[in-house]
Amino acid sequence: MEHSPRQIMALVRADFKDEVLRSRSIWLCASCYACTVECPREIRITDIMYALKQRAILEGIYPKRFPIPILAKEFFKMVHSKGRITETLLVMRLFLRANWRAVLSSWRQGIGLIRTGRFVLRHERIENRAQLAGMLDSDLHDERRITPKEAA
Amino acid sequence: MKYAYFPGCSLKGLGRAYEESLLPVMEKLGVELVELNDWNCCGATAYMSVDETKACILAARNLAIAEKTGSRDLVTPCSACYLVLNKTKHYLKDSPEIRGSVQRALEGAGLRYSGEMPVRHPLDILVHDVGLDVIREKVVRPLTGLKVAPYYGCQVVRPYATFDDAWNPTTMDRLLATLGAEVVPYPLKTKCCGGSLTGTLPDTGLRLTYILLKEAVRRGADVIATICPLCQFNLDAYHDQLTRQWGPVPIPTVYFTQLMGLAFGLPESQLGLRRNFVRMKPLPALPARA
Repeated sequence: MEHSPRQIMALVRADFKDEVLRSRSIWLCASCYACTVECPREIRITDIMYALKQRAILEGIYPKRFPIPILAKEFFKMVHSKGRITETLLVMRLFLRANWRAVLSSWRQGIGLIRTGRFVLRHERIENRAQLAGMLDSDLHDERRITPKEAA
Repeated sequence: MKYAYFPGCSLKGLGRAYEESLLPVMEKLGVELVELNDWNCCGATAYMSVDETKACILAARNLAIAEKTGSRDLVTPCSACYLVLNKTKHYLKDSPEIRGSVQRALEGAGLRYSGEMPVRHPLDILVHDVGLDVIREKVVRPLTGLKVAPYYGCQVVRPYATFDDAWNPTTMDRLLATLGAEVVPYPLKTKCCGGSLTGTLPDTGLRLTYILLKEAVRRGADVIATICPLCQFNLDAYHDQLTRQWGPVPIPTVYFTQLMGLAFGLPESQLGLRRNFVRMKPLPALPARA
């Protein structure tokens, strides 16, 4: 971890914007909310991490070769076009974009998934994809997209 | 009892054994789950990392479809879905900006959502609506002698502990005890399994997974019971890598609904137990009746 969560908070407060948004650390938050329920000052740390990730993506300054934002973006795209996630296809896309060698080291897991009938190759999709796409795009001209609220 | 049902993507994919066991168990108890028509992905943690407002719109479409069914409650078994749908409800209530964007999106699509419909987990339904007494009556094959570590994971109890305690949840403990199982103390019951980090950053994610498995073995458990498809996958599907890196932790992880199915005497073949990488051993023989 480049920066501890405390350091992230301190950097945000001191306006070290670039350092924070380029940090890999914000992407390491797995969103388990343990810190949020423990914090005696009721700071919603998980949500702050989300806000920083969103901002990093919006400004295009997230760590480019780091698998976690790549997964987030691939997930986002699949939901946009299909309405649902097909996990095995998502993971394959992640491997191809982030680390194709992972395919080689995970082949046994892939075979296990086929054996147990959990390897899905056909895209899950919703019927009313046009409706969903229209809803998601309705937010495009929202002014919040141009000036997202400050993270902290 | 009738509920609207949001399965989520995992229950149609990697976590299909969860749905395969949930549906017959609920049917046995007279609970009807009506799957939402044309539901979409909840967005999980990944979508929220990209765009907050869109994440709420995505979830709100499901909430609106659920409300249209006229059911009292929406039930969702996946922890990520449970959290995202509840979180969206909170955001719609607390943030006028998000409420405005979501309402515009819904209206444009001819949908509406009042914000009232409760989003609940099957564990909550089973323990609080059906009741442990009714469940006990259905047990024909008590899980006597089976030592189970109850693992709740994070997002069902945090940050919104609506039906159980955020630090020490006990609903599943009580449910498993009702089935006759021996519930072993498992202090890591709400620790994170690593979530999607097991796939993106295995060195970081799998360490969390390993700690959970190791502790369950150390506590003498035969099996880990889980309530989340991602937890199940992480605890079940990486044993090769875990063994290579830190040594074997040979313990199966199954859905709590699969254990219920076994206790209800449902055929093992119908409960999705064959979908596990680490298979559960046949139940221990019942002690002879005196």
